[in-house]
Amino acid sequence: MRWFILAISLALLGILGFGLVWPLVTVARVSIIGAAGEITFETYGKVFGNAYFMRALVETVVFCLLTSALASFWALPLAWRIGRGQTGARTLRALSQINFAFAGIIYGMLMIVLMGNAGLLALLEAWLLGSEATRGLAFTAFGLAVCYLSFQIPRSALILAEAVAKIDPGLLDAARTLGGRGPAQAWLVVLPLLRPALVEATVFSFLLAMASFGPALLIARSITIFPALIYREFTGFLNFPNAAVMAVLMLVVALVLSALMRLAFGRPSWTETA
Amino acid sequence: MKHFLKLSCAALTLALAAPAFAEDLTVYDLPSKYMNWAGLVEAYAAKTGIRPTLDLKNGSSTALAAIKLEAANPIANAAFWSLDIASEAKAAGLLAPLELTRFDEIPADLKDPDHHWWGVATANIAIGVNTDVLERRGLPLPTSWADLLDPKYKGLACSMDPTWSGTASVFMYSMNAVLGGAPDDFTTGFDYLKAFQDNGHSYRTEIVAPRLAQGECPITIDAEGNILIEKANGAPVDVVIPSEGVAAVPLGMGLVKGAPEQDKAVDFLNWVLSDEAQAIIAESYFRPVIASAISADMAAQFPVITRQVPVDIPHAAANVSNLKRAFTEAVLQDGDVKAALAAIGLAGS
Repeated sequence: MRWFILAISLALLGILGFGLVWPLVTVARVSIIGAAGEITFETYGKVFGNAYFMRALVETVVFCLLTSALASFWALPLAWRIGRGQTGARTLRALSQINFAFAGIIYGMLMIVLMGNAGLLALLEAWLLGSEATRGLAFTAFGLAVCYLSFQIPRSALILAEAVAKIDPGLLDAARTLGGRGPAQAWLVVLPLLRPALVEATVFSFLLAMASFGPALLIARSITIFPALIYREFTGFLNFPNAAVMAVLMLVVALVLSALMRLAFGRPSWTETA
Repeated sequence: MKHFLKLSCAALTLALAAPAFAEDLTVYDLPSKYMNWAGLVEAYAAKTGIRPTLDLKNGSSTALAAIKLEAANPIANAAFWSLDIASEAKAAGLLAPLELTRFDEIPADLKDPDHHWWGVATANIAIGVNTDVLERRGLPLPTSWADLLDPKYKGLACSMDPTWSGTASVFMYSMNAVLGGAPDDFTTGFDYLKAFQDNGHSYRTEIVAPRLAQGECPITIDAEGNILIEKANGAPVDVVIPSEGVAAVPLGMGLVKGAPEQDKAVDFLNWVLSDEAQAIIAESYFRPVIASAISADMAAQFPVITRQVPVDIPHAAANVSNLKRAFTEAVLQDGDVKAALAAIGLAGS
């Protein structure tokens, strides 16, 4: 058995090394190697000096932050039902897990089928009202947000449901005895208890959104999504150094922002008030 | 436990060795409908037991990126791609010359004099129309490139994004010559590409042929073969050959330098130019480079071209990457056409 555990651990180490560390090292290396093979930070200068890239990065970060925060709050009722084991909890959990099986590109395709130029929504509108207001909705910022929320909400809900399940029923009873019901109970007791989980869910869904590029490739028109730009530098222009610098940049920004979110909002609030 | 480990090792060895029995031949390729690649693979596998790979890269640029990264230890034997990308690959020193048996029969503008790349088929870039949708909207079929800029067609047309698709990058490159621009001044072509977007049309990062059939894109700019194959499958679509003229996407192949299975690859590359293979290509409405290989009946299925604008492949290869950069700036970011072209020295004098 000991040999088995050792073998498994070594295999895991190997997978981590080849699947995570090696690609990271390669990307970092490509980002600082110049045309003549020398070490240079020239490409970093070029990328930082490119207004288009920088604007895209800011737009992407803002978009991902907004949608992930929105998704976490929107997921609360769903998480509550799943976490408390209320009617339909198992079905809802299963439905929320389905999207693990879908690649981002599938979400993009789905958006085009539902809200594209000849999407279900546009056809329905044309049939009912004879108008064309929703034609091509998938390609607007609204459409992109709906697309991102559609994979962020279920995943946030699953994380939140774990925390909901762990809420001490005694605390809820105590709140009720003290007269806290409905909205007051939710606002003063449940939300503070769930705050660390809300932050965790938001961070998770923020990282997920930052890494996602399939839907952006297909439907992002009004917002330039940074990972799609990295893809274009890589395959469209074969500019590996640019792509590598942009990848490093995105990684750093995503990790720093997640750490800041955890630091600023992530501590459990009852330790402060107790 | 020991048995478990032994069994695992045996299973792993088998899994790793399995592909060797299937006799695959790794070739980086375009989507399998292009040039009837899937049909070619089936026919070749049935004939020889060797099966070239399908749907491995789905694009010329992705194939070139992979071959470049793998240069020290090549995985692909050959590539099936757009010839401007092939010419870039030659310039990067990634291809090996090959004496093909039918090299002399390929038209001169579709082959590298040094044998590093050669054409296999061409497809004119034309306008695809969904006749159902246009009729429902009470619109006549467009007849020219200029028609697409008419506000009555606002937002109905889709092209693929030239930074994503080889077909679209040839469209981006050739529109200038089609509309009468000079080789050192791409303003005419780029003004058109920008006006296309300004009329609400879109540049998409997806294959547009299925979107034409669905009506999501009632008008497309695409290789004629991609449109005609949807028509043959029963979709309400047709090809319009614009009155200003058309240019063709030159599709071809090349042998990768240091190909791991060179002999097998050479046999296949020669076979693709045989009468048998060229006729299989024509079945998918791509025009074979060896015209004598297909019957008069088959030749009659292709749309009649009144003005064929030649594509200068080496010039395209030398400039397409810069033009894509200018396209991103002037069109996708809505910048200034003259300034973007001046930055790459293609705004004339």
